Amino acid sequence: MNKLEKYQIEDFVQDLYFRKWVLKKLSSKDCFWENWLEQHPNKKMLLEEAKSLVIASQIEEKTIPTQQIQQGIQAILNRTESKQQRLFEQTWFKIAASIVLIMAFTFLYQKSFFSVPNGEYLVLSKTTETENNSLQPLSTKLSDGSVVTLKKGSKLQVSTDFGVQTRTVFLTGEAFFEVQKDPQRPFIVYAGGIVTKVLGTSFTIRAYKDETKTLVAVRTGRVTVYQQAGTNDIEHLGQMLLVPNQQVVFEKTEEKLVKTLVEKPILLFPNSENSQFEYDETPISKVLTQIEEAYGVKITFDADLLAHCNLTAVFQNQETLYEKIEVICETIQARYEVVDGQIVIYAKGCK
Amino acid sequence: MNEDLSVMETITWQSFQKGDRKAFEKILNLYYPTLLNYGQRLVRDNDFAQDCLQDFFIELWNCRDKLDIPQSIKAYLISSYRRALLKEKTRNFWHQRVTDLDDHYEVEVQFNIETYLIKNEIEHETLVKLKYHLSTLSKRQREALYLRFNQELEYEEISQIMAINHHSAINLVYEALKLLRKNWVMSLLFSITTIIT
Repeated sequence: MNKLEKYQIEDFVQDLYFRKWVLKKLSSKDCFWENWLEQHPNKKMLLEEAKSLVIASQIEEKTIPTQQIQQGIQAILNRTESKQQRLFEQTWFKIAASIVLIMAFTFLYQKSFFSVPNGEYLVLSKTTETENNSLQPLSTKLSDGSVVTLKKGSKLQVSTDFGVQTRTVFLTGEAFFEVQKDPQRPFIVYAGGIVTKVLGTSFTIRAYKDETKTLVAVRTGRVTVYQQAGTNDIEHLGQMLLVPNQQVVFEKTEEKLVKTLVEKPILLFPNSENSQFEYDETPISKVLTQIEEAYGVKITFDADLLAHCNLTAVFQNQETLYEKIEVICETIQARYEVVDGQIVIYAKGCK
Repeated sequence: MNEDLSVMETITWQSFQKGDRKAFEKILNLYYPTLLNYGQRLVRDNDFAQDCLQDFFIELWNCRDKLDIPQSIKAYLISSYRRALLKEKTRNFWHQRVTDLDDHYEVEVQFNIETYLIKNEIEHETLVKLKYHLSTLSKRQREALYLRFNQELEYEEISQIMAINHHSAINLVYEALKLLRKNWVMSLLFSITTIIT
């Protein structure tokens, strides 16, 4: 064999046949290497060195207890047994699901019971300050009809001239805002170093004093976020427009606004036809455009590259936006990133 | 001899696809330990690797009639399991930061020589030096070494599993070996001559 004569140390070390010989895994009748060495005495040093490297670079086998392996295999066999078995599991699953459902309803009932004392919203007068010291979220109705739901340990201050020219409030902590539409008088929230200006939408602000970040996440409508210059001053340094499912993070120390997507984007119109995700050999670009419209989240991709990519899949509603994108990326061998509130797909294209 | 083995494997695989429980059990006995061993190197959480492996085999059984007949069953199982495992791991991660899939795994590999030195209480300094050199191996190099040496796979199969081209697979192994040779093995040669003989 001419090839072996040209072998360097590394070549020997990675050669599976040679390794077997060094590690004494060959049958005792196999004298190939002994013979070869006899014929090539000048290679003795090389071979010795290769041998020691094989031994030293051997990777330790992990020992997994036989019992554990047997149990694992048995578990797989049991769980794939017969249809009856699976039906039995399903029944259990149904019972468990019912219990969870009942518990969830009980919890929701109690929650609404606690947060709305006497079944009424607390109506604020113009100078008030509301603080939520309880564990349950506290819903507050402002004089313009907007509703603010304060999380625990959060505080809302309403300015004296609320509703005259603007509707201005101050927030520390976290709250969900559902703002009544009033294009004449913008609704302005000062919180954690940033100013959020809206006309009529719903969104969440998280601005706890002891956290280094302030966060604004949009549920519906459009929201403008500024960096705050002076306390009462709406002279804005950075400005950012947010649409549903986007959020902005303000790093207090760096004084920078960064746009991303909310953790769990929701469908804009859950009941519309556009929120059905069933594909049969559908071009990927069409799939992505539909998802883009359904979630109102911009998806950037190279349409030419993806021209020959198709998808056959059915997505359930409980699958999140990211899970859908992941499945698509898996199918077309791509990866994705969230940049500046958009999803960017990096693909190689399909054959 | 190898040819026979792969023919046997293909027959087993085909019976498994037709729903033969015995064949499935045979495949489990052959590959469950190997895959578990590999999975536990890729993720730190042993239970997680095991849960994923069980789900993986159950999924394999459920869609058995839709599968192809792979060239090498071992390589096919390893690469599918690797994908499933890393996907599951990424899912647990995804809302924190979306980065390349490959960043979410580590490869735990301990070399024979380390254990040997520890066992024989070789002086501290040597061990520290060795540990340092070992840490300069990238996790991809470690994984490639492991797949080549312990799983005894061909480079073609390694490249499939790690989703790289054939040439890169060879390079990973060779570069790692060169690094090992240059940095430590030769200087420690005499401390291991005892295990060689």
